Amino acid sequence: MLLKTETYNQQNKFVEYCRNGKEISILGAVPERLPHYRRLVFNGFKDALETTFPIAFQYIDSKIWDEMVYTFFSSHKCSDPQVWRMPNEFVDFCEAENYGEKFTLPFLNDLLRFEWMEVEVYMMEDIEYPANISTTILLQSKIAVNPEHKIIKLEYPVHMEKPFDAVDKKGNYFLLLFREKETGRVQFSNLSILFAFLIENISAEEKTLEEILNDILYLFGINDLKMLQTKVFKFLDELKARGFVLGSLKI
Amino acid sequence: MKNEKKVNLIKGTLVAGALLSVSALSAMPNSSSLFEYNALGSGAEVRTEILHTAASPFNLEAKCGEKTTTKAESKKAEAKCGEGKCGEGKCGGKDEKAKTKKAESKSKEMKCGEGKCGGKDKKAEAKKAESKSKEMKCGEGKCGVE
Repeated sequence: MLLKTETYNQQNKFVEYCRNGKEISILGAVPERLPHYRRLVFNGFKDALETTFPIAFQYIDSKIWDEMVYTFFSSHKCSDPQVWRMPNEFVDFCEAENYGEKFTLPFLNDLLRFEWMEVEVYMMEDIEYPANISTTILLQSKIAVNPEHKIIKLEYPVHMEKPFDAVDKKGNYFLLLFREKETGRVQFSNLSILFAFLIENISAEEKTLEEILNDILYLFGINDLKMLQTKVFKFLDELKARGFVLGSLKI
Repeated sequence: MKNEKKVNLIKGTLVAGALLSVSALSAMPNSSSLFEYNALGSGAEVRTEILHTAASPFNLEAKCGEKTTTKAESKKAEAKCGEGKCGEGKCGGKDEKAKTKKAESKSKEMKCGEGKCGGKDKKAEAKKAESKSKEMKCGEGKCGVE
């Protein structure tokens, strides 16, 4: 919808005022009432962030949290028209502003990303499940998995520990998130690097399980194929019971 | 040559960076940590686990008769006093309930990015929980429902 230039200007002024609180004159507006709008908008903003990041909100010092939120609110021009995506912009903003280093919160980027990913997976568009599958997991087949999933890499185990306890445990952590078909709930699994590699390759649907296992043998310097197969089948069976692995793709 | 093959195998994968580091490549073959995984449960369970293990050691050090305030509690009070969700009403107490709701059902109710003010229509809540597609994806909140 095209707006008159003047209307557009007035709206922009109002938005700017809501962001930074600097006094302005807006046509037809009663100056004493403007702060209420600002308060309403800011609280909606603040509440959305506290709800999306309950762990960060709880553990990060209130003053730091408020500063991060207020700076984001006042200086970042959100580009996504969908309000629920706004916290993702907050994650990017904090990364860009290097708040982790600034506030000595090395886990910050991981924590925000981890908390945001649940929303992203929960809200992701429905993806069609593979149709032609057998429920048995076969070595010579490609494996079918729940397509509504993501794997992320974290440096700190913020998905398993209180954030400040995770500070000394920097490393490589892989987190699998998938959305349950029936309930829509997002399930989390912490994976070793080997299993992360396995799941990534399985979901690419380019190689059979046997081919992937051969790559793993080579890549990880494992020389006991039988042991590898036993461990992998046990892992896949458990993921099948949890609704992530669906079976084998029929050719 | 060998390394080139390895690089090709992991090219573009999430594990690439980790695998290319010297320490990972020289990780002990057949090491049991390579086969570790934990089913952490749903988002609510993961959150509850992390938030509920927040017992502060300072609680134990309280002097007789002294009221201890955990960081989370004081923060809650600070965040919610005066201005409630959506900036409307909701002063004082009741934030226990709100906090629990936040911790346990982030995905069910709050992901739309907009708060919920006023009423506590159970019917509406149930509806929300069961049909996210109907209400949650619109990006609109629900205010003043009674």
